[in-house]
Amino acid sequence: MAEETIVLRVQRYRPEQDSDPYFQDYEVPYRKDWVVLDALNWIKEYKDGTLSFRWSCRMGVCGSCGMMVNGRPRLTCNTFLREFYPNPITVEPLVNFDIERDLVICMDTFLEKLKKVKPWIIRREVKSPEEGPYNQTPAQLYRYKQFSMCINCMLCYAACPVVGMHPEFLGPAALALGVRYLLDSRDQGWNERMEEVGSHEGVWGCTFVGECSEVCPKHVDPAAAIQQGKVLATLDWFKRWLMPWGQK
Amino acid sequence: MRRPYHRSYPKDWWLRHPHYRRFMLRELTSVFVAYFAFWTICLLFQASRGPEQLAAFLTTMRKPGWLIWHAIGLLAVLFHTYTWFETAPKVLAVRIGEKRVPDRVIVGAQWVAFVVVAAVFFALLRLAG
Ligand code: SF4
Ligand code: FES
Repeated sequence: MAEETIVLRVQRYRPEQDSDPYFQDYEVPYRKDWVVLDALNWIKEYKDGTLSFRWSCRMGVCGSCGMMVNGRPRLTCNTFLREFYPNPITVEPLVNFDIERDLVICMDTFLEKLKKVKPWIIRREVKSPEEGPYNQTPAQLYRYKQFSMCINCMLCYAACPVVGMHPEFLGPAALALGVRYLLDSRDQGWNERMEEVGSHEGVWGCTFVGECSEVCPKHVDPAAAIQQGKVLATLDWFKRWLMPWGQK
Repeated sequence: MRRPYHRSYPKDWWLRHPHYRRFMLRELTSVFVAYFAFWTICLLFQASRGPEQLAAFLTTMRKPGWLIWHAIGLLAVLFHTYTWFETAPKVLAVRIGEKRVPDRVIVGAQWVAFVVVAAVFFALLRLAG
């Protein structure tokens, strides 16, 4: 019996020689237990060593392998070929990012946005190690825990039409992370963080399409984080203007 | 060598997935919310001009064209309401201790409130005769 195969239509772009991206078809062995990333690795190993793509963990934790699979942002390490077999599978780099090479995107814009929300704990009163940790009750932890599960895979950026139309929008993952720190009882950087999170490019840029939460492989629900961020920003605004003496 | 390739965002993005189309429908149906608010102002204005004017206005509103138009509007507003009730749990993460109140409870509570408010409203209308 001839081996079953499936066709991968892969978008290529080699900056040295191609002026525009184009599609290249590869016929790959079909295995029920193969994911799209396995097929790409097979191509790289046996067919075409010039094909570039990013991956690392192969188990949905590193967030490197996000690509457009048949037009949807997916982690290629947990997207099985059997979902599409026998139809061909189109693989493109994540949309809403510039293309570095083949399936590799430029993540510079994303990293800039992440930095803007200051995703670390800001303390005004710093404890020395001898004084012990900053304690937190389980209830305080659960306020933000879900929003801290992000793996920076950027699928939500590819899903978001606002990111596509307004590149300055901070976007789902960065805002979810900003809100995660706003909700953290150990954090004391509320004002400086709110300046970014509560800005026009921040939560107020969001029109609540909600697609970020649909595609998120970690159920971070960035759309929820952003809407809760809008509530926090509104309360903050009232506090600033109605009770300027009540500033923390 | 770095030569990043820039892709422009497609103008027809909202046609490209059912979720995007649904979002557009949600946004467009909000126009009817504004419309009915405006219509209510018109109704109050006619009422302020006296009983005859109000009666004339209401007779016009009973014409089939208006009834069909408002039936479409009602469907649109109900759909809009439905979409916002569904998304409310994302905005209101209600917690009791460590547990989050399930989304269904929040959505359900809104529908209960909706029915109660509507019932009170219609009861008052009845009373007013
Ligand atoms: S929020 Fe979800 S989809 Fe967005 S980068 Fe984080 S893990 Fe990926
Ligand atoms: S390879 Fe790590 S998430 Fe897919």
